[in-house]
Amino acid sequence: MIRVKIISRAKEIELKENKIIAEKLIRKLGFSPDEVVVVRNGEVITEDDEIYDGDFVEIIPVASGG
Amino acid sequence: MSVELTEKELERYGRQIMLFGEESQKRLKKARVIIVGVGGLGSVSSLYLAAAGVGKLILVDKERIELSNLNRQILYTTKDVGKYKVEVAARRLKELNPEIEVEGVVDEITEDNVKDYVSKVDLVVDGLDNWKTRFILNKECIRQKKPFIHAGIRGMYGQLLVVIPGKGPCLNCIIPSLPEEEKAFPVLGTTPGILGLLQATEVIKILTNYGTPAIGKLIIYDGMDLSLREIKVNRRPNCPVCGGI
Ligand SMILES: [Zn+2]
Repeated sequence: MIRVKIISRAKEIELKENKIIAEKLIRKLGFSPDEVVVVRNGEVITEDDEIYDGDFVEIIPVASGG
Repeated sequence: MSVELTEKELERYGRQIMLFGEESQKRLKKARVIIVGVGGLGSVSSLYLAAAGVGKLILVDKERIELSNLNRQILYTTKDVGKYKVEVAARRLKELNPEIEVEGVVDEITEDNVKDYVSKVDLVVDGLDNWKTRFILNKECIRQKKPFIHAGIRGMYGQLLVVIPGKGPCLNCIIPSLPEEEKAFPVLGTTPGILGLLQATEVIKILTNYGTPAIGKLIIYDGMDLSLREIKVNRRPNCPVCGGI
């Protein structure tokens, strides 16, 4: 199970996958890779990195407003 | 150049001088800061930087005040609608603190003028609402080795990144390609308030050399569940903007 928190949506979801590429996860959640920062277990990862069972992932949409 | 503090200034800034001392206050008095964009973020950062006694503030914004700005752009009142933001902002800040110099410029930062603006100041504060101009400023700040205090907001969340050239990641290290621009974004007024205050706090720390600047940390505020997170971020060795320094 992979736990995913999306900043801005105040909710956590759980994925049953054992393994997923970050980019696939981003797109699955309706974002595009250049508008989010992905943090796996407290560290920033790139869209090509893999996420595994047991990981905690935070999806942080970068905000452009001022 | 040495500066002295007047009796009035010693009184006005007394409570913060108790915190960081007269030398730090003199550093603030000598400092020149540009705030690019006086919207939600810039309204707040400029107010606190003026109150703290930053010697010279340059405000750059080409927009006029609209009624829909007033839920968050707290420098302005209803009767200011239709006026240039920088004109009203400069007047308000001078009323708050007549000891400092405030210059309001109706303009937009571009590739052509960015060098000039950045060369006039010690530090750049991001009050923008678009990525294109932020990337222009980030790049020029790296080139001139001047701190760039980035923040961005949307809805009830936002991020802060303190860029100290050569010491930590730049905006490009974190966001390698230009995200899609969003014109009218949803926002609760308190969100730019919180991020603008964090920016002003970091600016004062850097200028006075008091405390530790948030280098290498992406600060994430999320009002939905009220959390403030710090995420350790590193420089990208191959960053096209700061990779060479
Ligand atoms: Zn960089």
